[in-house]
Amino acid sequence: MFYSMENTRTSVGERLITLELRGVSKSFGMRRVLSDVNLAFGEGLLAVFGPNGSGKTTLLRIIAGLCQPSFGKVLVSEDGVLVPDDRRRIIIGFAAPDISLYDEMTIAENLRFFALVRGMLIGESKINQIIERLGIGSHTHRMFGELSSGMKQRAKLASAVLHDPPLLLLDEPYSNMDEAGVEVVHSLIEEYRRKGTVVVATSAVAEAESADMTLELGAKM
Amino acid sequence: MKDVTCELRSRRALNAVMLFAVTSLTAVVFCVDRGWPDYVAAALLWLVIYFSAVSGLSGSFAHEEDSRTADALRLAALPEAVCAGKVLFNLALLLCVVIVLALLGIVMLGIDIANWGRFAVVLLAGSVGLASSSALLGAMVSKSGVRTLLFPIIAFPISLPLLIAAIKAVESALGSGGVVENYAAVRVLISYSGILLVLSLVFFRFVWE
Repeated sequence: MFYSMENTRTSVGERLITLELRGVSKSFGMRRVLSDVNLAFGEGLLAVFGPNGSGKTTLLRIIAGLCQPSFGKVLVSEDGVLVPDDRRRIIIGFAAPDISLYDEMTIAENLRFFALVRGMLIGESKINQIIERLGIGSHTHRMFGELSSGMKQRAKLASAVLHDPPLLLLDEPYSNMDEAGVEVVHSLIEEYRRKGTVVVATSAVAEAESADMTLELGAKM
Repeated sequence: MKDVTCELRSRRALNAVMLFAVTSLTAVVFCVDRGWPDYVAAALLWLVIYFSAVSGLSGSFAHEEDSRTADALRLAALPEAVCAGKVLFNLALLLCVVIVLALLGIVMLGIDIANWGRFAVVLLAGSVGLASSSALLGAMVSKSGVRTLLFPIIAFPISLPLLIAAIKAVESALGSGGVVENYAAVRVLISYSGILLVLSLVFFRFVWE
């Protein structure tokens, strides 16, 4: 499979990201999940689409550097300069159902902690701004473990965009969301696709329709 | 601070470690008469500390994996920062246990300490070594399904030199042994703990990622 897209946007004052997958394959034991995925993508919204078990989550984890491909490589460039694997985390924001925040800490404490370990010096106002942006302002001081699934999803998104990443990876971002939540996530995706690169993994066709590019993965069950 | 905050709210590791430490020492008090030699008291103290560490400190990374926060941490923090944080948390937890055990040892077992300064240095150095190795090995086994079995098995050969040196060093603080032997035991303990700390910080990246 090979997919390509030229950069059509001009980015003034923003960091220009190029994502390239070269022959990426992944197997878990005898089961091959991804097979020779090739892709070049610049700014905008890339939708990774496919049924359950097609390898969407695995592909996002490989891009994020949380998982190594069995074959092939992932190249991420920032302003034309290749980002080393061990520095990729700095430019990536990743929210996924299988990545959680700390149950024993409030949303605000979680965000403060993740800002701290990222070496960011951000004030309470910035944290409150992100929390309000995600529509969870009234839950700021509630323990993450006590939140509903939808609110947890919003808190995870807040953590993913805390450092304003130029490459945002979202795995099933609309899962567990009510109508208001869907609207919040949609506007967040629109904001980040305008100023950077957003990769969304989804199994819903409708969510993939508005993307600048779609990568369809087949079921390999 | 994150680990301390979570621990103070959940008391997961502290309860496990304290329960084991206090129960084992109390059991010994009821079974054995006072007045045992220094080397027995030193060995007993360190065995309880060691098994308390095994029962509680291994779970720190396992909990991160189980609660699915490990990947969030991998994405946000440098491996060395994660390792340093875990070592400091393990050390804080271990020092709480060590202080309680030392006090119980003095009160209930009648341990007589000849050199308080050396006793404190030895407990601190031994705790640093155990906390460091527990952080590295805990991360190593955290993804394994048999981690509760695996951790003590791989921890034992690495901790054995530390335990021997710590027992000898505590024995020296209790007043036994010659001057040269006493300093040698303390030096070996401090050196080995230092090596474990450095190795943990250097190799943690490969285990964690």
